[in-house]
Amino acid sequence: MAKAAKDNNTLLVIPNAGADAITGPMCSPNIVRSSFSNWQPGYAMGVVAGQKGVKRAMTITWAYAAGTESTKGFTEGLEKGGGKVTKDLTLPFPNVEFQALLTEIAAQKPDAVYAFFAGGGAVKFVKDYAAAGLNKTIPLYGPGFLTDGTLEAQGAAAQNMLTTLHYADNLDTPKNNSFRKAYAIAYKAQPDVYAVQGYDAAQILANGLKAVGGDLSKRDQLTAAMRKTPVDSPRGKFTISTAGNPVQDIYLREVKGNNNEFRSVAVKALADPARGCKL
Amino acid sequence: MDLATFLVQCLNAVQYGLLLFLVASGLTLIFGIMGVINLAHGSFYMLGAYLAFALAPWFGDWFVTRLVVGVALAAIFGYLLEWAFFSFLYERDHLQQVLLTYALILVFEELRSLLVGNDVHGVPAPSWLGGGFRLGGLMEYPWYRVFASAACLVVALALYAVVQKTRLGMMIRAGASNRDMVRGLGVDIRRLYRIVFAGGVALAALAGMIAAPLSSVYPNMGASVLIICFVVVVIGGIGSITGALVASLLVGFVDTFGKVFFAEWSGVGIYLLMAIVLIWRPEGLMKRGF
Repeated sequence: MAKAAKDNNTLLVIPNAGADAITGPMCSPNIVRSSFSNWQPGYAMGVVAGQKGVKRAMTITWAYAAGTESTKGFTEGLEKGGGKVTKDLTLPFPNVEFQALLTEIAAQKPDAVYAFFAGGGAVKFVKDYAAAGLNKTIPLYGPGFLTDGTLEAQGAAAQNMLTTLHYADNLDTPKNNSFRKAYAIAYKAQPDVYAVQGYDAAQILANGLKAVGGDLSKRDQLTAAMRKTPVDSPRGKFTISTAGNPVQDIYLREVKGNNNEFRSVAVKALADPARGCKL
Repeated sequence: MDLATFLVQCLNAVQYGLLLFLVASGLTLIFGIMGVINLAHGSFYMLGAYLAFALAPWFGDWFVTRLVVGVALAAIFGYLLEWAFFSFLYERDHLQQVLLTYALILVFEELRSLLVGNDVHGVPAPSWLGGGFRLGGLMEYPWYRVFASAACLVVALALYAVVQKTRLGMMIRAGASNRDMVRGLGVDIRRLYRIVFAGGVALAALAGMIAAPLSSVYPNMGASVLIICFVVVVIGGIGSITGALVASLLVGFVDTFGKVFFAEWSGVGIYLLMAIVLIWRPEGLMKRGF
């Protein structure tokens, strides 16, 4: 879709898709993302792992773009902190038979494991990891997607897990509190990171429209304003890089009950390196 | 890889293989006895898993009761489904069977979405099967997985007993080799097929119920199981239950050790195995007839 938008010069605001390429080789002035790049949470987790003294880590994920980009980010962050990834385990997407690889992890005994899975795979992996008793000796790290929307299914297996993401449910800021309240009243449910991203996508578009007074024909001014205006988001204030990706704080969260609770800022104002972007 | 790790991987392979057998046995029964390609088989597996999720709050720790009730419900569902749809398929060609059963997959997925929603849900294992035992210094092995493997073995033995040693089994085997002769001998072949179909659905649902605490329930969970099932049935020989057992264990080993040695190429390994078997022995490893 990014390619189609780029070729046709159509305005595209992306509220979720994290592929690095969208603000990398595919970047374009008319494409803006309000979410994240797969690299960002991974890099932040790697930095945290390095600070915790992890020297040898293993990564495990599905063999597809989101997985490899996330684990590459983790590897970069960890190497900054003096650690290294000894082995990258992958399995075909969407295979969820993890036992063989869990046994591999148990045999290699790394200091930590970084996993990227989403949806049903995330639930199964976290549960299998705990059932194998590995969570007692080898900490499991991951981006927020490992524990977002899955905590009810994962239950006790996910408790006290540390993950990194550009949002945490209980950020105590006026903007987040009012956002969560208004969302709960309007939709009778609690918002999650996807709701925040959608909300911010609209905010970015609104910023651009305000700058041109609603005149869509002033396209260049519109896209420039969308990029230049800082966004006041429930996740905190963030700016947008030249490549079109949020430059944002990545938070360290811990699972407590059915929530991912904010613990600290893992990396402040983290920008995706936008490798391959010619803007 | 040291000996301890190797033995644990063998254990993983056997456990995965046995669970595959439970799902595939239903498919091979339906395919082999009735000649119907049932693409909706993965949906019955999903039905079992969602049944486990739905019945869990009502039955708590009465796990075996929950299994029995679930299997009974699935069997009734299968009986009705056969009467409503599949009974029209026996005289038709395979393409029409594929079309109908594929449509059923879509219908079941939408029904699931309407009735239960699209979220991922966990199914707790009963507390008396919780925890695990240590495998050397390596890792813990959950008791529930041991139970799942044992349950699959029990079902395999029960299937063998029913098919080889009972009158019903004899009629099933006869109906598979010569349908018209059996009808000519006064056996109600339509009712027989209905019972076999209900049995196949019940087996798939049982597999789903047993696997639910391990895999959790999520949309489209039937799809990947379905494909592996067909691979197992083709390798083992269509209609052969012993073949399905041997093939499931083979697939379990190829998948487990493939993951360790070949990473993401392990996905190719299973299909490569199927291709080799098809070239070497097109009818499968075991001949039809259990």
